Amino acid sequence: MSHTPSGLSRRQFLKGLSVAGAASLLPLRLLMPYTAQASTAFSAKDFQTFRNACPRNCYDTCSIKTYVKDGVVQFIEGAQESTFTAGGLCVKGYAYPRRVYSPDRIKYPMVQDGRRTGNWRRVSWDEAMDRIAKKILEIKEKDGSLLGMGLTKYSGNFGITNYGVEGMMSSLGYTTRFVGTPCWPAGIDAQNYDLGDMWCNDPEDMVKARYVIIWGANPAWCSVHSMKYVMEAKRRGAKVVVIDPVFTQTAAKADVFWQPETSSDGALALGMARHILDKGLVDLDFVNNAALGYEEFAAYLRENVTVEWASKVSGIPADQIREVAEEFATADPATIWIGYGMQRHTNGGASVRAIDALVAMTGNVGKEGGGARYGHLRTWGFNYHALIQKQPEGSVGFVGGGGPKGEFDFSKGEAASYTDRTFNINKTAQGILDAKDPVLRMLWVSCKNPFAQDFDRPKLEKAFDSLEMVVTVDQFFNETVANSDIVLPVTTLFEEWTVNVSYWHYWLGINEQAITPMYETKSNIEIASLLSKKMNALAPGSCTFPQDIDTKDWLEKEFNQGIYDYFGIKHWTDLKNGPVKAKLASTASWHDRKFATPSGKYEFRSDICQKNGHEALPKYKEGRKPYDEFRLLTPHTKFGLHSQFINLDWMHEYNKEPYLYMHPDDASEKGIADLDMVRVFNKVGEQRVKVKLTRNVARKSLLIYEAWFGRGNSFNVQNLVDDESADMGAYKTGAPGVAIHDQFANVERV
Amino acid sequence: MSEHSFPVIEALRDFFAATDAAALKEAACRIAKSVGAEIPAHTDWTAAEYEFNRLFVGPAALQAPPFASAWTESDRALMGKAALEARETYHRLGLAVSGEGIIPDDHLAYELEAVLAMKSVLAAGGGAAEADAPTNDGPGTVRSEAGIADLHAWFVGEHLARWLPPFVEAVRAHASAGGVVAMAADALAEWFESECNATTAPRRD
Repeated sequence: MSHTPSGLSRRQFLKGLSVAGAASLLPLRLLMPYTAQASTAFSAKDFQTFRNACPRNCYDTCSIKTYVKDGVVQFIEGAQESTFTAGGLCVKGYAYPRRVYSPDRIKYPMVQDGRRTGNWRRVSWDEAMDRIAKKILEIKEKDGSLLGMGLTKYSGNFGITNYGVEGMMSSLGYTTRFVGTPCWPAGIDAQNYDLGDMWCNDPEDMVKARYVIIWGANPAWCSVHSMKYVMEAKRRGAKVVVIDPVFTQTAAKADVFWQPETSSDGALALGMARHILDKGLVDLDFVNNAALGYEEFAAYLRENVTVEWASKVSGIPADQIREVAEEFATADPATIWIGYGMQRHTNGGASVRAIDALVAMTGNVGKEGGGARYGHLRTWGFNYHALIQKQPEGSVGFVGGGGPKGEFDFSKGEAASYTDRTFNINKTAQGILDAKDPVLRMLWVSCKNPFAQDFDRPKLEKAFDSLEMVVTVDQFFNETVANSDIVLPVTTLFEEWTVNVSYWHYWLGINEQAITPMYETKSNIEIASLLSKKMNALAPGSCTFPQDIDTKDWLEKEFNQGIYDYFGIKHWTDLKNGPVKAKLASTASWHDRKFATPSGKYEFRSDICQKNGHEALPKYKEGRKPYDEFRLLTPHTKFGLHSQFINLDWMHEYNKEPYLYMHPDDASEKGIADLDMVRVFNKVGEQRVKVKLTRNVARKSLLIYEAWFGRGNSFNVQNLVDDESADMGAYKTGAPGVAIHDQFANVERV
Repeated sequence: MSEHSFPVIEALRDFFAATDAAALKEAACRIAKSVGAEIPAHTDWTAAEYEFNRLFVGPAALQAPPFASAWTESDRALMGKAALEARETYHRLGLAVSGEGIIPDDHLAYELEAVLAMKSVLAAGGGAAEADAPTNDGPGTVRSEAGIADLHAWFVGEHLARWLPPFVEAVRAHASAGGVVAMAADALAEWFESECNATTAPRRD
């Protein structure tokens, strides 16, 4: 046939416009009449708009405005109403439409005939639920309890209704839970020992700071919206100091960059504290009236700490330590942002305590523009309606345990004769392998990609292979799905109702369902209700989860008067007009100096800390001893949140493949040139990867950004990271943290 | 408009809409019959289902997404312009995908069915076709034979022509040689070539 090379016919058919009269008189063959079309100019009226909220595990928890036309998300933007989001999203957020419309989304429930075979078949939801329910009943029959069924879930979707996953497990009986957090537990415990809770200032008040130290955080990548406050503080005259083992994009914007020996942070903070003490720059009002144990801390400093020692341990010149310490102590207010990276060490909790002490002794705790900023959960006072479900009558569980615990566990569990069995989420592989009486037979994975996230990947594969059934609920295929028997497709943020708050800022945002859920995707609570229906059909009374739910109703059930009052709204539907901020008495946490510690004061000496096996004072704790030639760092990348977003085409455009970053001097000693393929190896395993040489990383350090890179690439940093525990975390999150940055490895050219 | 291609279009539609091995087998046998191909007796239909899912369904990243938008946008995303073009085409025929927006309108199976619908009307001849007068079918519905012929010509010559060739190429690159998926790809390519050749360019008045 003869193809028409122009768009004439397409225009004729699809636009239904008549050819302009004048043009039809011209001897045209190729050019078509042109009129400026209204559709070329943006008009908000052409779109339906919806409120969404980014549910990723990120400081910024952005409020999103979504533009829908023809039932299709056309584009999104940051909500203007939130001064924090301020109309902008990050590179990941802007890619959201690429997630919902990626051809690679998991679309249907599917079963794999043999893990890692790639032999998948479609099944109906009914068949999937039938297989799962029968397995659950079989476990109960065999073991007399459901402790053989485990759940591993963490922060893949922080929409509050997604706690219905935990609710689903409870509604089935007492099960095995992986508790704790790989994220921030050592610091949470440290702040609880010192202050009585983790509670940070409003990040928006950073503009008031006269001195800002960003310690082990990279907000230029991981909290882009916070950077405007840092930069505004700087514009107003504040000095910005960044302390990081890597020269990050945040460091590039600082006045001072310190690149200390990794995990020497405690020594550095204590060295600064000693100098402040010597110079008489301590805030005596605070330490005498609002603190406990300051004199003991001062004595410890005098007897055990010198600036020279701190300099030797950290590698930062003594005169610089003195200079920054003096500047910090004399600026009013001064603040330290304590990043999560710096506490992922065997001495991480102790280091956070030392930094807290530095902020406290200078009187910067409880001050607007000041503070030892780490995080908060003050805005999380929801009902947890989806989370709190009752076990079926007669359920048998674990005897003698305390039940699940975690920083996001709001169940306020009642005392019961039975509880769930708990394992450390940071030792998932070991937990599965060690489980006895009963063994772990089945694992439900949701809001988590253990193979990208959990440590010691070779061991994890072995552990998964010991399980009789693995069910994974996800949006995209990843290594965890490859190691599963059943995959269930879950909705994106545009396809479900929920509500989100941040652990950093103080805004609340609704997440409206903006489009019909695509393919056969379902939200986590819909999946739970479906499973309940099947369980009860097969064995009446075997699951208490409501079988018919309206997800919008369930969103409403999360709200209470406390939330309404705290945020100054009358009803959750007010949030359709945009996100709202908590009505804060002060932007400063602890502004009334009433601390939540046993003494009601800031505790330089914490007896609880001592009782839990640590030092009462924030003393220096040595880091993990190196077990290989190089330190290995696997921090977050700019182009993903853990493994999320990494696989999207827009991210691949800039982040085509993973690299190892190393110092050129180290490389030359090893005979390695830029872009060589190398083998990084240690006691855990090995990973082949191309190398890029850069002086942004310190000598004797190897840096590989964490995460999975998608199609055709088996890259996984967890082949190199072991599950060594951090010092703290068990007190408030149920399990110690993990020393992600206390890893060591060697490298050679291949 | 010849009707001899109807069985192969129907068989291809059913093949690409298949959800299990049985449906694949049933449709593949019809394709084979239509194009005079042989399906080996020892064909493992479960293995064919695995392969079909690797290419077209998931859960892993698709080797050959059966959606027009995946091939016609400047970047690889669904529910783009091509999906809305397909939707509008169906609307003009007085048709629609059930539950619009759930499965992208430009899935190959839907598009093949739309071709079938247009060809059926045309094959029925002048008696069935009426003038493009306003009807209850909604604005822009095409009812005249000439209108449908033009719509068909555009859909085949411009819409399908933009994505079927690269799609078929991807299927051939990933399908196992001699398998039923490769056979379906060949049948699709062959049908499409003859459809293009038999289709007159749309009127340009």
